[in-house]
Amino acid sequence: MATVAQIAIALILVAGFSVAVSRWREPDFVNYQELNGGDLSEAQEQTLTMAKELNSYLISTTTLIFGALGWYLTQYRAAVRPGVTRVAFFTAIGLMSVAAWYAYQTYAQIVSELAQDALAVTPGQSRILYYFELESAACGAGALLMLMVFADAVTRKRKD
Amino acid sequence: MKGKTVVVLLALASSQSVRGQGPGTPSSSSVTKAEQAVDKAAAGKITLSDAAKNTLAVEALRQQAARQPSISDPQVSTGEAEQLISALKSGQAGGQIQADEAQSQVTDAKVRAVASTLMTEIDRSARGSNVNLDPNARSAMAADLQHQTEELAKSGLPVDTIKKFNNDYTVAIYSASKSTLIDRSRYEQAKADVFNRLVRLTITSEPPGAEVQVAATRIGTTEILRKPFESGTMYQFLFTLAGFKTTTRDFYVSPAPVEQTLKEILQPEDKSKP
Repeated sequence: MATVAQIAIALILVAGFSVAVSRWREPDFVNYQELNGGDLSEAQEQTLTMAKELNSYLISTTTLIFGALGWYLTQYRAAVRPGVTRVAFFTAIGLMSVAAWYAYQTYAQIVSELAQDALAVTPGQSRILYYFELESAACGAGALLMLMVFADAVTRKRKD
Repeated sequence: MKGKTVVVLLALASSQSVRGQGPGTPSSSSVTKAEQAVDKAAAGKITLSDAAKNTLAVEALRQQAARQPSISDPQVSTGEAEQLISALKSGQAGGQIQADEAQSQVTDAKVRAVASTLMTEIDRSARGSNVNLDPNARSAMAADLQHQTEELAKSGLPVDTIKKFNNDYTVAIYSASKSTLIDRSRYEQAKADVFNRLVRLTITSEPPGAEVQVAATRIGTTEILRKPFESGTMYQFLFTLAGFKTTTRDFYVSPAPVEQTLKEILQPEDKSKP
């Protein structure tokens, strides 16, 4: 299979995944709470801190896995690499990019809401947590694919 | 007068306290009076089903409440009822007009009334704000305002309020674009900024004390003050109050003005029905 075709399949998979997950998790109603003079309650503050920390953790961890995989693949080149593995690799790259976009959206949403003296952090009724869920899903699926590629790479006969 | 007071006091003493059903509750509801006004206005002109009369009465009261949200017991004048009736055409084969048909005809009439002056209003507000609108931006704005008008008309707002909201939208766009010459791309950018703003919606009901739900989520009890909502969205509000019919109200939160009010008139439960 040509590399272009593999990349095209990967793009379709990433697009399909993004659309499906975003529709599935899209909140029917975003329940904003007015902030009293810009002050956050303790619960709101803790939720925001957790969302921000998990956000950085997810992206950092997935990037690290991706980096480690890239390093391994350059060091130990397999004699044969099936098309499916290559598609999985390209899809993982796509999912990483999408996850980075969702991470940005999570932060942008936090800033936008706080700037307007409002915040919605109720699960299922929050845009912040919605973007965070999308990011988690993209990171999770991407990490899974990377592990599959990694497993394939370590079990396959190496190029001499 | 004394007799009435005694009756009210006796009724209060004998019944359990129910929220919203205090002495302030009118003996004959606003809706019943509005239905009578609609019936009178329709007499000899058009035949309406009972449900259609109720729909038109509720529409008239919602329009009144949108114009003057501070009035606690809105009333519909014969003139206002006649204005609503004038928007209606006879039902199929000259028969009785049903509720859905009446609602859709009233909504269409409001949309037509706003649309007839839409372009003039856009040009006037542009002149008023010293802004030059590129023809592409002008037509994009007209299409957006047409959509907004349709949604606001369905929300039970009267023509003058819809026009005011449309004008507020254009002013918000001019302000967000930060330029005196607005082309299509600048318009789209300003539109994105305006739609990203949260709108503060004050939700009231007559009588107050109704529980309000959106998408099966309880958001509070009327009066709900300045609750943030996403703009450019049609919400379905569910009002529940003991002794009153549960009412559903579709309401479009337009991006401007940033402070809006939704007032719902609740109808007493029909005690004659089992």
